[in-house]
Amino acid sequence: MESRGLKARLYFFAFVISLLLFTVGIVLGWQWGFAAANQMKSELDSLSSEAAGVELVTLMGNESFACPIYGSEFARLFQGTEGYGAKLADLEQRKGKMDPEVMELKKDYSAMQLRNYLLQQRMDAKCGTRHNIIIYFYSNEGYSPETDEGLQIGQVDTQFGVYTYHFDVNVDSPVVRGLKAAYGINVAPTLIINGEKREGFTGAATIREVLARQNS
Amino acid sequence: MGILIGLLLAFATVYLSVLFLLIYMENAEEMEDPEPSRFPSIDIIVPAYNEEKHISETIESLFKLEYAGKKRIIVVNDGSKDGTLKVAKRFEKKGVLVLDKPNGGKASAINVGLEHARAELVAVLDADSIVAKDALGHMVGYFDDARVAAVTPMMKVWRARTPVQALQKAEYVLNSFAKKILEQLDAITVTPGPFSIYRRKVFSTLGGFDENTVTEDQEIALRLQKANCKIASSYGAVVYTDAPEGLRELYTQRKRWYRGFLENAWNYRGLINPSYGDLGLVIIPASLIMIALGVFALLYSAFNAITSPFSFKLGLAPFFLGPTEFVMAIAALVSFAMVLLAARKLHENNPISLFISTAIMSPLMAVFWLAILIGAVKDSLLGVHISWKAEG
Repeated sequence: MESRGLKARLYFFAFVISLLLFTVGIVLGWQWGFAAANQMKSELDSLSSEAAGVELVTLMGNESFACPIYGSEFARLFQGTEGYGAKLADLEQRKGKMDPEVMELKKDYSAMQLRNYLLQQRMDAKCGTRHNIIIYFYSNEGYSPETDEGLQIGQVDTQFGVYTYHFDVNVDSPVVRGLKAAYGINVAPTLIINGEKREGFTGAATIREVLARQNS
Repeated sequence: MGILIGLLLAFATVYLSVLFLLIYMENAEEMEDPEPSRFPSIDIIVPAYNEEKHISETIESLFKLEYAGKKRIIVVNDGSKDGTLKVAKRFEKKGVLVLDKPNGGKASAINVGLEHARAELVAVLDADSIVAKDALGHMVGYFDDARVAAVTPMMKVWRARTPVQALQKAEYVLNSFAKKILEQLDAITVTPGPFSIYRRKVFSTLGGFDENTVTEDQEIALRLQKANCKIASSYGAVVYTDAPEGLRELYTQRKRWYRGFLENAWNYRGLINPSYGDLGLVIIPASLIMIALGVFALLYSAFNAITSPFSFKLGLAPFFLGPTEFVMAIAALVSFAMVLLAARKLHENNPISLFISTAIMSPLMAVFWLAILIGAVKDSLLGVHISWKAEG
């Protein structure tokens, strides 16, 4: 049988070009990833400065001076932190829940959350205001949406104007360790609804009941 | 693991597109249709089964063919249950030879037509296809090369009436262009039913169409390849064909194609051999590897979806684009370059809509693909009888 040719040269060149294009894609992707991580860090720094500013201003004045600033600035600071949390959740989705970089960012985020929480508690006491606060301790191990308290809280959020602080119990930081010790957290999920502890999964209906009772 | 499979598939996409573009750049001038030095006689066989709605238009398009040589139309009615024979008979007075036989399948109808063919060239035309009037002029020049045993046309979708048909327009254009590229590698593996032309003497040597396969157009192409015959593909010869209207018809058609591909790949496994050059060493093995990779990717995705149904999240987080997304974007860009080139060469004036169709069609087909493949394997194992595409 007559033997037919093989365009080996073309296959080789196509392979080299494809490899080059692939390398360009990977390098660009990495660069973009680094830029995004840096932006995350600078965003957190900026939030942190903002929080420090609010803290300082509220500390230096009396109620009549500090409370209006707290009233106008804190909600914005809280929203900024929430937005950062959403980005962190996206990053977690991409890189995996146990990714070291994600866990590192979560440490800073936990600290930022605790800072906001303490500021809110202090100023509520000082200004005589009251907000519904839920501290949500969660774990990403064995995650399923059925047991995602975030979704349950979301259902009552608008009705009660809830401020939620999320803490991943698997994050190894003094902040999380301290909070776990302070609230005696042994299981995840656990909710602290305006100081009332509820261990295990708590559905939206129960959260609504608790909040309604506390607010009546 | 999922990312690795995705990257492998993306690399395969980039590699194939780059390879095709390189082949095009190297052979661009030789790829134009050659001017015919003579106009050999041609018999055009139209096998028909229950085609009373289309056959009239199909025959009319053959009358309009501009051709300096002798041509004759042979309609073979394969025991249609509708008025196909009656409609075809109306053309007898215009010189059309109308043959009637008991139902036996498309290949058997073509073979009956071949028995009556006397011309140097024989074309086969599905009864639901329309030939552009200048098609023959574009195709016969290839037969000046004595090695050429068959020539295939550029297939386009005829009057896309449904979204599914519109989506297939891009696929047909790309497939036709890919066939032209494969011609440069001597690796065309199908001579489509809509208007492929053969040198008649090849049938005396190799026999007629295989009546036991569901894709006789692929079987004959592989047989020609096995006999080291050359199959050419024309840029300029356009044939419009009636594409499946809905998803169910599309599924049925693709199931038949894949069954045919798998059965023929097995029957002609001897072609996977270095002596068959690009076809034996690259094209057929690569097709099989791509199928295996695709099956693995889909099974892996299905496994993930079952074991952790909520592990994925819809939507894109543009802030966190990474290497995977950039690589995918490059694969899309290179594919777009291919679509642009194919559109330009096939005189399609809206490459953007073709690209969008491809972008929609590809994931759609990926979702269906495993079901199609399973259906094809099941039909093959059970020996489900399909003699006409309408049945299968």
